[in-house]
Amino acid sequence: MSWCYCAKPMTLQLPLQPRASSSFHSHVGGVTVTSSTLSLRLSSTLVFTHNLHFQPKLKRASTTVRCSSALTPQLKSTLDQVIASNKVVVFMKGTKDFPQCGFSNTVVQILKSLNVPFETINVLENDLLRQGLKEYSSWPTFPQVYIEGEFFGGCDITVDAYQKGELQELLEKAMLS
Amino acid sequence: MRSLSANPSLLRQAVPVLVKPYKSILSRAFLFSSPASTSHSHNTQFLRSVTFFSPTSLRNFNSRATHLNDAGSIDSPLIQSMQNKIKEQLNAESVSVKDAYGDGRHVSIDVVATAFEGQSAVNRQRMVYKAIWEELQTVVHAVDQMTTSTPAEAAAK
Repeated sequence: MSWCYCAKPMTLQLPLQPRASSSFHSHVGGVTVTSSTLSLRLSSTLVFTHNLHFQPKLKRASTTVRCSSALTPQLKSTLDQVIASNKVVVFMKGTKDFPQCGFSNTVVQILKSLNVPFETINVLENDLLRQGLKEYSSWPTFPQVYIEGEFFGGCDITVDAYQKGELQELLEKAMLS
Repeated sequence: MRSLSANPSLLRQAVPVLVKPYKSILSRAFLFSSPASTSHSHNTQFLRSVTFFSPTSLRNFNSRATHLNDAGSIDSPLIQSMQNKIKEQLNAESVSVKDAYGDGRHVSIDVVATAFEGQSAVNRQRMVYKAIWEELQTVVHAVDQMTTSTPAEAAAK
């Protein structure tokens, strides 16, 4: 995303970069940031944004361990939003119309057969997304199924729940909420 | 340790294809080949992968002999290592890691551990995944099947 909105104070544990200039602060502050956080935190946010967009990758990697993680705060925020915005989300290999992996296909067929609307996101298109999701869910494989904002499981757990009728029950509840 | 003579047909097929620089790899690979690799289809697959080795991957292979093999490559010590990690980290009663197709890309895992009591299916699998996270990032393509049981559940089967 090109702008940053803090619904609540963010604690960023990044060292302030000396090279950040005051003109940069005013520019970004005036254009992209809308929040009521304290100025100190605002500065931290700005510096982070600066790092994210302009620092060479090598320098980021050497600056802090956090930056070498695939799950950046920005990616985590984006994932939180995607998962919260849809009742059912499947991060998979391929798309719901063109699954590119047997396990992803199995999950898609189950959800289609239950006639529930669901979003699919193709992790093969973005390796950073793929690596970040593994950390996000502490789950190393795909597909990953999220229902009502919560990680539900991979292929075998989804199949198992479907066979027991638990999946149908959960989805019905989700659609009504 | 398996001897070369245990795989005479594999050896016969390999010799005309390989050239001298790869003999050391060949010897090492033979020592770790599983019974499944004696079948025709696996022989073919095995030979294909060997012929694509470059001097660089030759060095990588040798230097990593005691650690993880290259991505996409798996052998018995790795299976054993995964089993040991799971057994130790979960203090498991029993652990089984099977290489489903002999190519190491798909594994089946069965674990019986008291530590699973009170845990959901998702969290039980997470506990296992955590123990072998490194292997899952590099070598293993998919966990085809995983069962996680407490001793009581296992006894009830």
